[in-house]
Amino acid sequence: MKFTLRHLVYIAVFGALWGAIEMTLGAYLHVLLPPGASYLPLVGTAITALGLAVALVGRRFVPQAGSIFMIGVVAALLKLLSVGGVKLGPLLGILIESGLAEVVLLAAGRAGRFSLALAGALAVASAIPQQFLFASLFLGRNLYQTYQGMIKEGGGVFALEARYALVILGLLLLIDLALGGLAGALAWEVGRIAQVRLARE
Amino acid sequence: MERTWRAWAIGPYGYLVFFAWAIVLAALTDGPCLVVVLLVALCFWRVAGGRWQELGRTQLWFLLTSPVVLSSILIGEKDIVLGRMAVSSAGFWIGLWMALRMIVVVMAVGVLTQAVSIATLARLFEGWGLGGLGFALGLSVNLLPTMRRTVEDTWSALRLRGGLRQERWRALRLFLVTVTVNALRHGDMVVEAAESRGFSATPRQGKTIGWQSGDLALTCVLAVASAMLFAA
Repeated sequence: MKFTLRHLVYIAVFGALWGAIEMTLGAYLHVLLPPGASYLPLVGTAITALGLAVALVGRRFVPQAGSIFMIGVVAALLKLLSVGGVKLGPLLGILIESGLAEVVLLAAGRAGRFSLALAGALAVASAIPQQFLFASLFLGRNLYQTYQGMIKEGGGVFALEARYALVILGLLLLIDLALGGLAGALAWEVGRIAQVRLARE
Repeated sequence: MERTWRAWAIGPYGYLVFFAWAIVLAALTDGPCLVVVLLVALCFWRVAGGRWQELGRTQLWFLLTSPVVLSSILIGEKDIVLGRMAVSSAGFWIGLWMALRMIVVVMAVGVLTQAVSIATLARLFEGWGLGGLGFALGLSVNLLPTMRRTVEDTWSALRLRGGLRQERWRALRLFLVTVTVNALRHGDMVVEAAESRGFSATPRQGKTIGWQSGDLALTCVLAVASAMLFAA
């Protein structure tokens, strides 16, 4: 991964933007909202999608392999300075999401509207398997306990009983995919407009 | 004698190991173990040249007390009455551990920034094949306040013009475009400033930074301390 000076500065700019979103919005919402608030999982997903949209816009300005992952590394390290305290979960989450988006774009070959939307969708949807991974790694919970917690939380969001577990899981996954896909599409559009506007100057 | 001490001096790797140790332990521990981590971090921070005055800043104490106060009021069942206000003891402890973690992070960041310059950090990352990451990271820390101001200004402008009342998707797009364009303009100014000072992104040819005896000794001490903390 060899970047020019301009690319490195852009990586720092987009990393700082993602970091600022996570540090301010993310940390305050997780500190201030009461634990167990039924809308909390959706708020977290929306913040992840917004941060990822910033990183995907960055890919348009640093069209090189590894740029999204570098932006993610910068944002994750900035997250260490967050007012919400040090939490390894969100930090690793940023790294996994940026890594996944990077892999999708590498496989797609070109950062078009569809590939950005796909990268966003898969990266945001990775939050669900991440919950299982982090709950077993950091909280010592087994897969079933995590599954039960997720169903309970999701049930609260959609006002559904636990017996509709598969529907709840499906809806959570669908929302993650939709928000991630929207973030990717938004990133493509924002990047295009910003490029045109900057070229005019 | 002085020569022996110099051989055991802690180098950049030692400070990086300490930084990683403090962050990981702060995240994984609470209760008495976290207090031990804090004491170790405090000692190291003082040895690395930290000054007591730095801990007396009002801003820092506001940041540290706010989680304790907020979580006592917002989290858990209110089981203690303080004057006219009821607070939660569970929330208090959660907030206290959060605040202690923040102090450990502040100390760890303080040690790293005092002892390892951005240029050394950049050289370390270059040595690991991640050329430029140290530079990008150092720059992003400096850019954070500017980025935050850009986001706030754009948001205020959009709100004052009534942009959020209708066509919310368009408003969100406009917001992101304006933030991106302003951030990139600022980035371009940074590029021009860096180029005019002769900064180059290509790896410099120079002596690579290696592990010193002090770094290895510190790593062993911290590994033993971690094992003892987790065993306790």
